[in-house]
Amino acid sequence: MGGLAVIFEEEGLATTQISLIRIHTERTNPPRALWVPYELGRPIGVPNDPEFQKNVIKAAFDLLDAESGPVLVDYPVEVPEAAAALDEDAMTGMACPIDLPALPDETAPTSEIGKALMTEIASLAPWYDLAVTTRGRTTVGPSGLSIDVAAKYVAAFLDDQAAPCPRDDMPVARVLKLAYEDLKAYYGEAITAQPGYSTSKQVEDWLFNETVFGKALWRLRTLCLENEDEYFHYLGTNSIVPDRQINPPS
Amino acid sequence: MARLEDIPLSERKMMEELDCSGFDDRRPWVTGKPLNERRVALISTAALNLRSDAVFQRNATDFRVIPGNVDPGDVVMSHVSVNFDRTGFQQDLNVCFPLQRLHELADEGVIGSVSNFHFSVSGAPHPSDLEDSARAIAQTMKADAVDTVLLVPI
Repeated sequence: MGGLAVIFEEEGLATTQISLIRIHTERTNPPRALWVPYELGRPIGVPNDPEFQKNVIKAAFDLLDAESGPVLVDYPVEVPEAAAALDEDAMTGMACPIDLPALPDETAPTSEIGKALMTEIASLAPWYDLAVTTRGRTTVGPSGLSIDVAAKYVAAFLDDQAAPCPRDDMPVARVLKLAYEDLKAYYGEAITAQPGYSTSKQVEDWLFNETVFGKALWRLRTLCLENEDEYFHYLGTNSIVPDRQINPPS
Repeated sequence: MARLEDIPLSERKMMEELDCSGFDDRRPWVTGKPLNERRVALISTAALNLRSDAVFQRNATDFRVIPGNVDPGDVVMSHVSVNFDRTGFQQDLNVCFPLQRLHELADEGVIGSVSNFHFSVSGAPHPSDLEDSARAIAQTMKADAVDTVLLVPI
């Protein structure tokens, strides 16, 4: 990000930026940057809080008053506790108010996972629909596949990595990635329509540890890691399960 | 949470070792008008694209245009990384692409105006690899009388 700011400034455009990873900003020396203490993915801090967001942006604009730089300022406002919501302890014993199918055990055939996945998706549909109605939008869609087709493809791939790909205009691994990311978005939107799942960690823990889809993703990761194709191997290494699920903080 | 100590060790190591070279001795500095006269454009490294656009491919160095009057429901994300939160974006586009907030700040007279065009790239490649795209974006911004850019990472 800081490198882009330098290039724009060289082009004669004044810049100011949000910084999330402070050491990267220090190394690229953008003219003006506001480091914020927010999690990756939420650079403006809090969803659906216009005043909070505007204050962050105004603080970034304030840096345009500096007479020389580079300027790197720390923004002191943390995410309010109410928005940070429940901590791990408070989540203990909390259950998703949806009748999710039982998780197939480790030795279950993948066809069983596929069947359970479709049931799980159907059970989440009312919450997903509520999320779309409430927010007026969905972020599901980059795969270009319906959610059922995306799920069937992921399930089919678990069974047979040469399963027919529903798109032929990009690498199979890219289609697979877009399909499971659409499913993640569907699950994320559905669960955050319910009370109690306001932090990304809560959603992630639920998705990867309590759902059939999560189980499918762990299995998919294993298959991709074993795959000799470089793109699939990359997916297994970096691009299916987040690092903090693979290597949880001790 | 974006404090390094809060990030899992393996990812933190990658961040600490990330190559950010190429900018050590570049110190451009542009002064400008008062804030309430500036025309502002937004750029995000979240690999945002319109539904009608091609998605970003792995290691993409190209860019997508997000119109200033875009319907937030038309904006989706095709970033390759799984190591950042997407649930904030799912709930509110403004948490990573605060276009609506910019329009409100213009209405309130805090900034002069908002560009008709905004941009997104994938932040995954080395920043030097985005140089051609950045210079092309800058030309479009200047053609739209933009003088100030707000850059938002993901």
